[in-house]
Amino acid sequence: MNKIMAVMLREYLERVKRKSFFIGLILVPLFMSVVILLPLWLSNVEEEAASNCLVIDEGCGLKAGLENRLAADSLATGELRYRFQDPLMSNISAEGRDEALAGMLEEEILDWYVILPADLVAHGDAEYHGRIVSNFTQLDFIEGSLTELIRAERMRNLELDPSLLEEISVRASLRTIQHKKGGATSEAGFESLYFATLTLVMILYMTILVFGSMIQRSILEDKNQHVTEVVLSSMNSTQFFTGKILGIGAVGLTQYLAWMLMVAGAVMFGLISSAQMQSLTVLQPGVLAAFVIFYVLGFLLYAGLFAAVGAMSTTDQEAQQMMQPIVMLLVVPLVAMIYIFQNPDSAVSVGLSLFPFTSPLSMFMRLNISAPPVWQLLLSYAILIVTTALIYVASGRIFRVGILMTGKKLSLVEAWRWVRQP
Amino acid sequence: MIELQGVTKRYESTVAVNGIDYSFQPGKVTGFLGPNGAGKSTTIRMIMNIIAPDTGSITAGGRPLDEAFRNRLGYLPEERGLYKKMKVIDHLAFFGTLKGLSRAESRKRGMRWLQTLGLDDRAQGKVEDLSKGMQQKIQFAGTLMHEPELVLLDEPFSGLDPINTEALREIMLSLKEEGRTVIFSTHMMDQAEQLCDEIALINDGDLVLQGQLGEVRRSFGRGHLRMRYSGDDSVLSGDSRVDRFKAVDDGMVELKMNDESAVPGALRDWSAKLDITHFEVIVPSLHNIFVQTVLAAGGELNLEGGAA
Repeated sequence: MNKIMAVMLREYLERVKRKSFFIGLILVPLFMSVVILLPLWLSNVEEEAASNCLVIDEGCGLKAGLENRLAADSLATGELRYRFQDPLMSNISAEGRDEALAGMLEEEILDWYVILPADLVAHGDAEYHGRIVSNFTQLDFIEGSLTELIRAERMRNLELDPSLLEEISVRASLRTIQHKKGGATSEAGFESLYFATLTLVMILYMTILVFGSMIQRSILEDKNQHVTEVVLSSMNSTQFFTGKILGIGAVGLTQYLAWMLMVAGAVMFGLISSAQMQSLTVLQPGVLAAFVIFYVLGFLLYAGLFAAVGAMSTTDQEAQQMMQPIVMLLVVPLVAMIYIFQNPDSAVSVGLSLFPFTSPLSMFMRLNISAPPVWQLLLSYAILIVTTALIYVASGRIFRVGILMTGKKLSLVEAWRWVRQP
Repeated sequence: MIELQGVTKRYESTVAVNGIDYSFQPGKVTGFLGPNGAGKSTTIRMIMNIIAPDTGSITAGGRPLDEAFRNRLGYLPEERGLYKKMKVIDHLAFFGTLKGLSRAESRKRGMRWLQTLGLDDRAQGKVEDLSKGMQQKIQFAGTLMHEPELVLLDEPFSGLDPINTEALREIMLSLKEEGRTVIFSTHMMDQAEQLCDEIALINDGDLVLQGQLGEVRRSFGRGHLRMRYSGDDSVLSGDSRVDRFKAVDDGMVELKMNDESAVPGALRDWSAKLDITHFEVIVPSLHNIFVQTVLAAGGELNLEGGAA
């Protein structure tokens, strides 16, 4: 046990004491918040300039209505957002109109114009011309306004009172209430559930990938620096192997602990509103416990695989190559995520959540959205634990041989021979 | 002390170590000699439990070598290596904890070793910033800091600069004075000649010769002569008491007699026929002993083999 501690402590301290560890601690959350918050922030920023525009009516009679609605919109400065440039049209003949308008766009006298055809009320088709046609908010606004104007016009044609329109318009909404095992219900919306699950699944995935490959690199480094022999002369390969995996696992835990403290601090100082934190409470305590269990088991399972890769390879490139199939296994549940969300209890979903290499992520997804039978959950844990144990024995054997082979790569065939040889 | 019984290790089709029986003598310096690829490193690795023998047993006092026993061993592998990014003192402390010392004790001993080696100002520096010679010293310190009763050094002199070679020789001699057991492997026979009490010669996985160095040499020295003379060569080449006869440089010849007891009589006969200006009974070098032993055993001399 002391020997395992010696290896584990070295592995842990050498990583945690590094500057890059601290930089990562700060930079990753910073980067994440920028990625999440920047688009939100940008979409709230008002664009500055008012636009010069024209509404051209070919006889439908909705020009005034549209202009009134557009005129109601103003910039943050209080200035009108849209400036109608009708005087520009005064000297222009009907035949030369399109050419003249195109010229005005070209010379930036006009930013955009809308053509309302005479049969607009009958067919609902209008045209928007502009140098930029990707301003969704503006296009949505014009479309919405025209829709309402046309509806009102049609009602008038049917000799109905347009004010009735407001009275009969309604938008239906679905309140989702999830019934869980034991009669509990929760009113969480699908979106918050989806994002909370996605966040935790990504944490699982990233942790396994980042720290798994760290183990592989660490073992390869030991081989290349010829330190393995001294270590192995003082302990057996299993102790060495276990110490390394636990040491790096502890680095991961330290990192998450630090991030949790940061989030707690951010809530305390009001940088994150507690309402935003509430989105995580859509997850039940039982699910969070399962998260921790899958986190630990999933990490250990893949750590065993990555360790074997590290022991088998002699260069980084070789290791990368051998890691590919392992990473593929890890990605399968991510690819299947939407499917699992829609069909959490289908045969495929159940299969994925029992198969040990996909179960940590898949079963966790299912736990969040439906309530899989307890036997399935327990079976999933059991299979995972047994597989992890087998992988450890196998990887330990490969490790014992591979770790001393500094000159040549261990082929899969050879590796298999060592796995079978106790 | 450590006993090997019928220890065998095969790799694929080659036999690296072939049924070796050997008992290491406590408190002595034993040289484990042989050309590259003879099986020296494999044997040492098996003693250190880094690899397991296919058959045979390695015991100490009749019991298999357990972790507690291996904590009392110090091992310097042929492939030296240190964690380049670690602080020097942290690295030494790591070596100590590997052998079961506490972290505090390891650091204390590490500092003491650094003072002894004159490297105490580098304690907080990184290993990679040390010169190669300094790194070698750190490696010795790591091997010895837990004050092992038995020290196994695999090719300790390979790659050392002359200053560190001398330093290591002094360390080995002081270990011997302190009554510790030292086992080291080498393919350089002159190093072994200067340091060993006992030798074990190994070639192609077989133990071909063992015993006290002095005794081995004396037993091989019998009947080895060197002389300078003028006169008819046929006096020597035609003498049935002479086993081999070889001219070496400077008008000198070396002779090997069939029987040591024939030397005085032969010398009398020759001095009547030849004008002998130089005559001595010589002790053959370890190198010669080795060559002779391997050839006598019908083996092929494999002095250019790959690394074991």
